[in-house]
Amino acid sequence: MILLIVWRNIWRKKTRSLIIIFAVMLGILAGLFIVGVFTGMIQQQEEDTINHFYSHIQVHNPGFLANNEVQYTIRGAGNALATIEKDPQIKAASMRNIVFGMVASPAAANGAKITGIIPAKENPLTNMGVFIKEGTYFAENKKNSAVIGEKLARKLKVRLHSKIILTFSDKEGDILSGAFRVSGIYKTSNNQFDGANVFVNAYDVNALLGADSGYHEIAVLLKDDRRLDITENLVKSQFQSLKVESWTELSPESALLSGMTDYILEILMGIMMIGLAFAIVNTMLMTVMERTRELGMLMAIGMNKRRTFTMLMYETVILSFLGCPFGMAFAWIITWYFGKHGIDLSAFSKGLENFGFHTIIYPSLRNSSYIQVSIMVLITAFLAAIYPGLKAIKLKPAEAIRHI
Amino acid sequence: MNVIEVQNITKVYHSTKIPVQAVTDVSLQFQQGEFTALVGPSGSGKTTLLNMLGGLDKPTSGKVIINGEDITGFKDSRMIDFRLANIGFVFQAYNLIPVLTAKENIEFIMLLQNRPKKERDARVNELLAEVGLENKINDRPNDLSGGQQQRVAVARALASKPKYILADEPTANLDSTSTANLLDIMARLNKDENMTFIFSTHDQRVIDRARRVITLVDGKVSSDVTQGK
Repeated sequence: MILLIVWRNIWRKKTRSLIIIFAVMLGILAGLFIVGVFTGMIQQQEEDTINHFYSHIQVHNPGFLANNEVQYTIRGAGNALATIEKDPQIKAASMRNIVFGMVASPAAANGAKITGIIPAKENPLTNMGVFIKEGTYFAENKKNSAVIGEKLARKLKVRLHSKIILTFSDKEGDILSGAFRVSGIYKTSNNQFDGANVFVNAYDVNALLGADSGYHEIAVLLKDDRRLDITENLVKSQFQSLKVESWTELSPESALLSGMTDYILEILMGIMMIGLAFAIVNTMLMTVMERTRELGMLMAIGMNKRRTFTMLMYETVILSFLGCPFGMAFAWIITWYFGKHGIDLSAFSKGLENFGFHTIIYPSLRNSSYIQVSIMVLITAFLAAIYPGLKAIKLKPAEAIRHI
Repeated sequence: MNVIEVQNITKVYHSTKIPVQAVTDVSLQFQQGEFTALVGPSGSGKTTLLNMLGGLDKPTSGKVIINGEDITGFKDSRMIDFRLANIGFVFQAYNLIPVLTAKENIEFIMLLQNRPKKERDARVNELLAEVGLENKINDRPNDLSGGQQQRVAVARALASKPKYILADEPTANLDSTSTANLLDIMARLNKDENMTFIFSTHDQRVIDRARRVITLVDGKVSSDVTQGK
């Protein structure tokens, strides 16, 4: 019967109860949606980091990472790549030669990372073709073609088919130059990347550096993210003299952001829960005040403190939990809708792209987020109910009955 | 046999700057089956004395002994259990649980006593018939008149089969007909079930029906008269 009283008490002041239910619903909806947006942003960034920029694993000559100098190549890179590709867990792999130099046009010059790629192997690995805005990503197989970022093209004031000069040092430190023609202009979600990366055919770089110039980097994309540690260790054991790193080591800022998702959820929901707790405490204290006489009477006729406290706890928890499924359902619907259609944040594109985030965000929520939120609401409701409950059981029946 | 024995109880309230002595050195005995009215002007200590008899308040000094047990030293939790088992209350403002029906209000106290459903149902029906509200079984307090609510309150007080019933100005909010009805019911229960009733009241109609009238003035017993009805 206590539960019956609790249920009827909840509906005794319909408007007030509905306001609390609505507040809980709105809090959960807002909290989950913000978490969804944040998770979506981070997931997109993580996907870009793996699928377009770093792949899962990269292999280098240790000296190359320290000095970025052209002589630190991977000895027997071709054989190493062939060995790596034998692993059935590998989705795609390729080798690259990388030089740091200058890219110049008649109008301007800019520092750049010049990556020589093998287009046939690179396409399934980084899928950079999806970012091409103008031209193609080495589709025409023309000699001395270069694909540059939109930002760099703007800086250099060049367009498709414009001529650019790439300048860099060879092993001996002599300056080499080559004329290239812009065959493609790409635009990724990362402004910084677009302003400093030039892609050319690896054979063209080798032609400038010399036939025995070799390769500086092997990048590996896995079929399954969860195999990362196992495969990384396997490659490490195969090539002990080389530096083998996962994307989390190569891009610690992206890994940090990915790892922060849970903390962000906890912080955001924590803030929401504090607000919710205050609303619950306020409402329940009002309830205790309004029902002082009734509570006094209940204690006078023999309802013990445990039952009185439990009654108020039930009331609070049920009230809070009534809003919970609605909040979660709406959060699911809204996240699903925007997860499909995206949220266009192009008004903030400059800021977002500087940090490597997309301007269209696709919110995404993990099932565990819903469970986490339910548990947090339950705990908040319990904690928030304690103070009003204690207030209630401290009432003196004789005084409470006389309460007006 | 004394059901309740009050030994030199004094109650001083310290809630204001100047302590207020509500009851001063009162000693009384109540026996099984009494129908007693505590009367006196406002502020004479009637409600305070009644609260101490019911364990709702503790005396500053003195003892309240019920069935040989000194209840003044009881802890709050034990006192609540004691009240549940031994005392029925009827309040001036009815104080029914507004979200429960007449039946549920009466049943509630038996639920607190963990009585089986069969017994609860039988007792509820018996008591509702006793107070003449068989046809109001599913009505909530808001749907009942003041007199009907007070009759439900009496039924609720009796539901737990208490040793005695304390009623604080039970007729204060009732019209003449409702008062007469209620008094008839209580008098019948007193006679048929040998139930002890102790009222605090201003109401002459209640005083006229009481067999014993204790008058309090300034917290002291000024007279204790048995009317012999």
